[in-house]
Amino acid sequence: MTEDLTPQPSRPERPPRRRGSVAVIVLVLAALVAVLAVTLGDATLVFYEVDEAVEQRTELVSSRFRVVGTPLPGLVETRLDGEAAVVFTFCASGVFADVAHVGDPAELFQPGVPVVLQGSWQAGSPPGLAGLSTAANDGWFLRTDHMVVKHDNDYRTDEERTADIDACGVTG
Amino acid sequence: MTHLGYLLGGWGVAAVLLTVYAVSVVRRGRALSVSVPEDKRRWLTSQNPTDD
Amino acid sequence: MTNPTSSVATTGSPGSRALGLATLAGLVGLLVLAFVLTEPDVRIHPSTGQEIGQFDAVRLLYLHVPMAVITYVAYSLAAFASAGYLIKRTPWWDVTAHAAAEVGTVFCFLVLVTGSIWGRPVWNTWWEWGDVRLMTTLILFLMFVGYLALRRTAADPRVQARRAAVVALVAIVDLPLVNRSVEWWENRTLHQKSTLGELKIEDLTLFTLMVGFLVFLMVFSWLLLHRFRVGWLTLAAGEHQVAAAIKERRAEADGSGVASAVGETS
Repeated sequence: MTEDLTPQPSRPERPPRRRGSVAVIVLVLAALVAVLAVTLGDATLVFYEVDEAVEQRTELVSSRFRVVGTPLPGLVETRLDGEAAVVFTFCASGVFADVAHVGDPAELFQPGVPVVLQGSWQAGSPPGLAGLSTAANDGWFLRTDHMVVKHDNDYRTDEERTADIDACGVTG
Repeated sequence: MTHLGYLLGGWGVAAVLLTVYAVSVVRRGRALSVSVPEDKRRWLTSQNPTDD
Repeated sequence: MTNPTSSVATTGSPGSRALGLATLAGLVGLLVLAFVLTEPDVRIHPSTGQEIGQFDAVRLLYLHVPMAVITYVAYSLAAFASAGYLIKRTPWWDVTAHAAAEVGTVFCFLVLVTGSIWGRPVWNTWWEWGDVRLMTTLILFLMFVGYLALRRTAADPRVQARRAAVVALVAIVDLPLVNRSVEWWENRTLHQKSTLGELKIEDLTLFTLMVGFLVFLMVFSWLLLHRFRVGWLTLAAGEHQVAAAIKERRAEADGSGVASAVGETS
């Protein structure tokens, strides 16, 4: 096979606008892969409710996970390992767990408002436990460092919507 | 009013972006319109440029 | 041929100007409702007796929720018009799909930004990796950014339209996932469930949200109308340039006598 040595017209250069668009497509594809990797690779993705976290404590004991529940009335501000912490009891479906949350709690954090915490189980009792009137006091506590408020979808007037708020039957 | 900074930030970003986008669309339309005969602009009526 | 510069040229029309004015009036009304007439979201907790709720941050929802619904409308229209293009292969469908996708992407970006701004005081985070509603919305946004970039890569408008239509139909598969995620992953995701679906909203709060839907639908319609006309003008300008170039060549050919020669042979 002989090589064609006939002079060829030079290949037209791709206009800058199209080159920029190809770069955007590459970036979008990279971002999509990154988003999926972050989402699917996040071991803390699954939310446990407090009762599930208590029930599965032996399996979860060495893991970091997210747990959702309602803080009960009675918060104790203290220090844990030299850091500011708030200690409280957490509940879902009538099951209680003690929590020591290190760092600033959420702006709208208060008893009766469900939150999602991220952390792990620790054996022992958190400092300030004696100040909690409804403590689980079962030899374990959740040490957490990330808190987000799980807001509900109810915008009705007081009489109707307060009936839906679950506080595990504990009053302030 | 609580959370005023967040409110101004949210509504402000929306107002600015929608305005900038709307102006850019109108400008693109004006730039293109001058190169197209009137019979290809079916919505065209005699108008003042400040009307939009 | 008509002189293209004989009048002031815009994408406006009497109808679009009337819509624009009505939209501006609606936006003013929405601001009054959202900031003056509605109350902050506050309730008394039945057990603790303390005030709980979103307080004034709820006023961001009169913006965020309608824009999210308009994003659904815009991307659904883009997908519908893309399917129309693949069936009919006429430019009207493609121009409609492109316009809806571009305007929809502006709205989707604002949904992500306003949601993030609302989330900081209410959730205590700007962004929550792993929240299904947030992640699926981000994926939807990225796919339509890719759609818009793809439209600029092909030189042949028909190739561009066909590729874009396929991408829009792939991207729209994510939309039901965005919408249903809060129901399917209930208690496993941070984003709250649908308020309207469960009718947990009433009175002036509901009315303001409905006004928000109407006003942002008007904003979307105005933008879509003008963006469609820009797309249509782009096509017409291309055709006009080609027609002008052919006319010029013919004139040159007439001058050199080539046209008559070509005419004799054809």
